[in-house]
Amino acid sequence: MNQKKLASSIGWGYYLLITLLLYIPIALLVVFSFNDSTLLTFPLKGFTLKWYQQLWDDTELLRALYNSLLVGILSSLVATVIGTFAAIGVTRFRFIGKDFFLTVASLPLVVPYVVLGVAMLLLFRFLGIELSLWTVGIGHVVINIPYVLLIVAARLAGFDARIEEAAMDLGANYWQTLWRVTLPICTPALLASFLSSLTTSFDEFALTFFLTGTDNTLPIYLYSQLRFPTRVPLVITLAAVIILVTLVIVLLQEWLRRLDQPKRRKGIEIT
Amino acid sequence: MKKTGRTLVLMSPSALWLIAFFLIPLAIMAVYSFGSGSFGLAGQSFSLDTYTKFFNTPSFVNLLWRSTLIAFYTALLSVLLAYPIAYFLAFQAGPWRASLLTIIIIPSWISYLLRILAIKLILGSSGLLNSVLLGLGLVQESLPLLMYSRSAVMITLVYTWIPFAALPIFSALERIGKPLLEAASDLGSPPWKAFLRVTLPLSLPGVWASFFFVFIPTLGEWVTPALMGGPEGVMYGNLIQDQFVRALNWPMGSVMSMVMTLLVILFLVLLTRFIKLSELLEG
Amino acid sequence: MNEIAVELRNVSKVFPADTKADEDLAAIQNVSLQIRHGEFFTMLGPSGCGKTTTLRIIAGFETPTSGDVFIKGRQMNDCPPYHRPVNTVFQNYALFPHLNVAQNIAFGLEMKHVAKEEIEERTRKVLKLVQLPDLGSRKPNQLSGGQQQRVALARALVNEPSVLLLDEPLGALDLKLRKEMQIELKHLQTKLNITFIYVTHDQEEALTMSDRIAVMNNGQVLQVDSPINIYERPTSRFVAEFIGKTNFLSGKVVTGGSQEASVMLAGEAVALPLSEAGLTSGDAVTLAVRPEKLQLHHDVPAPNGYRKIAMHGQVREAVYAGTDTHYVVVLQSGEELTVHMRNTFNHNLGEFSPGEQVVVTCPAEALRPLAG
Repeated sequence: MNQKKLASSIGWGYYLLITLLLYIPIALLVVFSFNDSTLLTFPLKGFTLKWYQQLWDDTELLRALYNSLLVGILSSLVATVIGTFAAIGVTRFRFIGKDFFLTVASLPLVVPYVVLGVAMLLLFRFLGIELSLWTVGIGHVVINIPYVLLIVAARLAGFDARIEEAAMDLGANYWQTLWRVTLPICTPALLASFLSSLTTSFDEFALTFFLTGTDNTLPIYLYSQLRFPTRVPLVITLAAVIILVTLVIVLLQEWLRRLDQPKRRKGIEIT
Repeated sequence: MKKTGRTLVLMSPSALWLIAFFLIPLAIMAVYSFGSGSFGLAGQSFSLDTYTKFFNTPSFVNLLWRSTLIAFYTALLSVLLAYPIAYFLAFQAGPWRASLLTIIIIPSWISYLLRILAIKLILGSSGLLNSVLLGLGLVQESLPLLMYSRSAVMITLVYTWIPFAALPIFSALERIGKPLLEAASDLGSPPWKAFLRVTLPLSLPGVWASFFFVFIPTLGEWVTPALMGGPEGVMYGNLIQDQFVRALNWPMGSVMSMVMTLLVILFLVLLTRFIKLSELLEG
Repeated sequence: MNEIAVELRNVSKVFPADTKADEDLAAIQNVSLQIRHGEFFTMLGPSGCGKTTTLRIIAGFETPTSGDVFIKGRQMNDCPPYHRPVNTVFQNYALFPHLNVAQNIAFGLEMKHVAKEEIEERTRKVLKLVQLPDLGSRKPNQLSGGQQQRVALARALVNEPSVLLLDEPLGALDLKLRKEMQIELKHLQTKLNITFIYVTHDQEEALTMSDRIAVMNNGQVLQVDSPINIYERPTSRFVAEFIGKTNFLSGKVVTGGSQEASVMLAGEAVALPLSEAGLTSGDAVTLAVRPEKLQLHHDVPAPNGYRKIAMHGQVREAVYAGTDTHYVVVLQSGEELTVHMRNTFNHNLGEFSPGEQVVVTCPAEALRPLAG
């Protein structure tokens, strides 16, 4: 028993250590965004909101933020819609090439983004398409499709296909069934996919770098500001904002996921 | 047939998107790498010149090899450091495991770039750690510490990968379940032996998945080296990026990218071998 | 009314194999059925016998590989489920989790663009019919298993289908509830005069509820008959064994005939009315007899005008089973018979003990010749 308790304490200790190490940098960024100093030193100089004010006045930065939101929301919508359709096709139908499709659709998860960036760059170059927020958005859809597939397919697999048959038995054709039964039941998964795509797109840098034209997304803008020491406080403040926004979105995702758990009653599980 | 129509409608958007913006680009890259080297796509003829040039440049090949090693050690360290977390969550965390898992994943969702920035700011020569040390009088001058080196790159990478690496291992461990361990202990096995002979082998598919899931993307990593690596910590991904941004040698860049892709495919095939073998061992 | 509600003509369904290594699965082979309007028709058989596949073909969820499906006289092979005048009650109810009870029930009516007031009225009526008048605003996950089952029933019935298909609807309920629901379903069917096509593997359920039963095995229909005939006059070994308990005796025909045949049975020549069988001399024949049709006596009883067969044997086992005592008797020919004797004042418990020599009798009509 003592051995077990010791092992448990070590486990907890290690977990807390790692968690601390993971959160300290982020927490420090937030703390220093309120610090009245251009230097990153202790002790803290005083509470100020001036960096946030400067952030608000920085039009270039606001433009980049706007671009990121635009690309994020649009590409997430596209990824969620076409990914959901594919998830339905994959879980409910049998067809030749299904395994091949699943393999290809999962590849963006593992292929290094530098390879993807290069390949897409070549495509756009040879098609004569200028790099812009559109090309960035296209790339973001590609990398988000696997996540949408995963999340929605998991939800679909979890509920009985007989429910769709019941709808058809009662007079709904296939598309009516999807619209009135399948998709409503999947709503939490759809939202979760959308939010997951949004956070991925919002943070994306490695791939975006190759596909950006004259308009910047926020990470691209951030990267360009890192060389200027005077800009450091602003960058930190921006970082704090992004952190807080991302945190809100992530917690929203988690709440949605909890909502989605199947409920049980007297041994009969309704999914 | 009705079903074919429906399948087509459901699958074509994603299928077409992936073909147009994933498969075709990769194909173009492949074809271009075997081209005669001019900038445009027209007027190309089949040629292995650029490939020959690549393999004959020792610095290129060395960098590829070094990057593979860095990726390997990163993946290894990540898995080793993540395993205890996964084990803790699966067997010791009790009813809180879902929440604790979420807590540890959240930082990963926060911009990668920002976290590297944060680390830079903490470890840099005018950064936080140094100012603390200087202030406390523990050092005479600021230590460059771990900035701008290969180790800095690896440490940063491991730091960012640990939560992700823990996930597949956690899934595999969760599937083992307490009853199996209780059976082992019932049959007279002390805890450490039960771990070595039951838990560890059964968790191997998750371990392999975790390893490759870190290893393969890290092969092409370029952002962390760009920010933390300095001249010594350059990785293969930076080389590729350089060909497209500075040297403007697109043919060479494509060849480098192709070589990386082939390496990735090789390792992906290896992965499927490893996972299948382990499942076979489970019986 | 004798019109045919649903007809299957030589319907077969083959499921193609998933991989090259597997074989195609012939789920049902050459099934022909005629189900009459207003009938309570049950398809009965063990798991995998094809009864559910047949039901799904009638519903439209599977298309036959060959053969034709007719509903109310019209061919329906290619007709999708949403255009067929049938409704289904599913095994696990398949209620829509995101809609409440009233919305679940209204679904089919909304698909037909029925006016809102009429939907409300009909929903109210059907909820009363299934005895759930106040549960309209509850969600399925707030209901018990029995309540969900009734909602599934209501959801189907509100559309006033001419044929209702039920796929083992009582399987998930506990015994007491199941028995109650069996009675209710039967009453409902009689009252509404709808054709019920019912699928189950529970033979008692089939026997108590049905007008006719189709016994299936391995994708084929073995016998279609009333419950009494299925039980008393099984035409095959499988049906005899699947429904209730049966003894099997082997005999050899000595002389055949159209009205009567003489069969060598258990070492004795016996005259049996085997007019249906059409047996000829020299044929081997299997005879089935139900344990409750057999009686034990200490000595050969005096003839009393009824044609009786008497066989000699020895009691091997006697098991008290509450209402009956079950005996296992070994005949002189070596064959074993299970005999169920009702425990009454005439037959005392322990009257026949193991080791005792007894005479087993049964009416000649109780011996049924079987094919296979």
